[in-house]
Amino acid sequence: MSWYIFLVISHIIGTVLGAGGATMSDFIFFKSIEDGKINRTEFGFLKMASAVVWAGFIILVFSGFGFLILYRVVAPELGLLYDPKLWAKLSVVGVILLNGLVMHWKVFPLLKSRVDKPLTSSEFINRSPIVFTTGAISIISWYTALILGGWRGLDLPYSTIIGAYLLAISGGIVVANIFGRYLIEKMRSKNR
Amino acid sequence: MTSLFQNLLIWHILLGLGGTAFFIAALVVMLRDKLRLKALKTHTLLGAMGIIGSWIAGGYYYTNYYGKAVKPLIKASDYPWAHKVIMETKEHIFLFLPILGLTAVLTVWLSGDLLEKEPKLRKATALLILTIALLGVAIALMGVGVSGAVGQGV
Amino acid sequence: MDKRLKIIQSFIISATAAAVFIPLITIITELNPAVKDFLKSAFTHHWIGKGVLALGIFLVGAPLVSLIRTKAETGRTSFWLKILTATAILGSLAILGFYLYEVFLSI
Repeated sequence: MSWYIFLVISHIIGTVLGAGGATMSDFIFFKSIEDGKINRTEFGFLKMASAVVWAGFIILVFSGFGFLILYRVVAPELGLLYDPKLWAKLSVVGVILLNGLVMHWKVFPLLKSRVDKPLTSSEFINRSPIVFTTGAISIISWYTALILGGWRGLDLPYSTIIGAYLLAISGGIVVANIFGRYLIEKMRSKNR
Repeated sequence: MTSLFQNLLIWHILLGLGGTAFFIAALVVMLRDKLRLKALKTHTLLGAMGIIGSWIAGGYYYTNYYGKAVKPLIKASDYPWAHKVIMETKEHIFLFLPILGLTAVLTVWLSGDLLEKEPKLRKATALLILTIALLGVAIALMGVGVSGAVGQGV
Repeated sequence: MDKRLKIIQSFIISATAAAVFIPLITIITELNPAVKDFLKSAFTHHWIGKGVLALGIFLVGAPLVSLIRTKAETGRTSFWLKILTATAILGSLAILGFYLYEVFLSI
């Protein structure tokens, strides 16, 4: 197996783990809160999904820099490193990293503090936007990375790609917050 | 490029990336509710080792090969400013990292349980680790920029 | 505990001194080629010279700082850590700003 093939496979595995983990994480979260609370097992699954996403992220970044080494050492004349698609991908990966850090900083401690407790409390409702917002940013960013990686021949300026990505993120945040709020209200009326 | 310089470039990138990744992992440990001190100590130590290794490999490559063989290519490319702005900034910001990394290691290893008891110290240490991680990411991106200019100049 | 904090604090202060030195020597060597030539002749390469001197300030400065009679406590250590962080960030921005100015703005 050549280094190139090895890197392509690693890059695909990293993206699949990241996008898959982020999808599972959102799915587990919305499924878990259907009964109005998150139990210990469900929280454990969320943490497991987060570990899968981090593993995907690390594989993605290292294989990405593997390509950099390969191009730099073997074929620098290709000049691929000033491709707007590459810089768009790097920007999305940066957002994924920052969003992941915010999740560990704010979201996981919040969810941990609510394990086996009703999510309809005003304390959780007030702090819930960060949960829905980071969830939306995560899943949209991972799918953006997947699409950018898979879309051969995409030839758009950096500003267009990032503009579309920011538009998708903004829409996703609005939808996730409306949907999350709707679920909480539904749980509340059920409990009344 | 001789195999020595190829290897030095590869190790410079891999160790730098690894070191930055360990400092990001240390930051994740710091952000959690319960501080896992053992993991924090390991992450900061491995992070600093990675950065110092990258510094040595990159330093040898830069002082013995870059100026003679790579700089002329960048100057001949469509982005001749990439040498002066990106490479010069990268190489000089890189001087901060081993010192910041060693300071982070000393702070974490010597304060030990104080990091659990004193939120102010924990927050200040987390800020230092965040800065190391951010500078590491910035240097990695500048590396991509410099390599891109080399490609244009070939 | 006081002894451990004193060691940490000494290294943080010497690291801050090194973080001030790095942007200063970077800008000085660019503006004054004689200093760059001196570093080249003394250390074979100006970048090695800057690195060795910065490491020297960090490693030699810490024992010297520890000789100063100061009280080491967590509040003060946290303060110096924040100063070090701010110095490193501002120093990095100063280096970037200087090269951007040199290439795009200076005539």
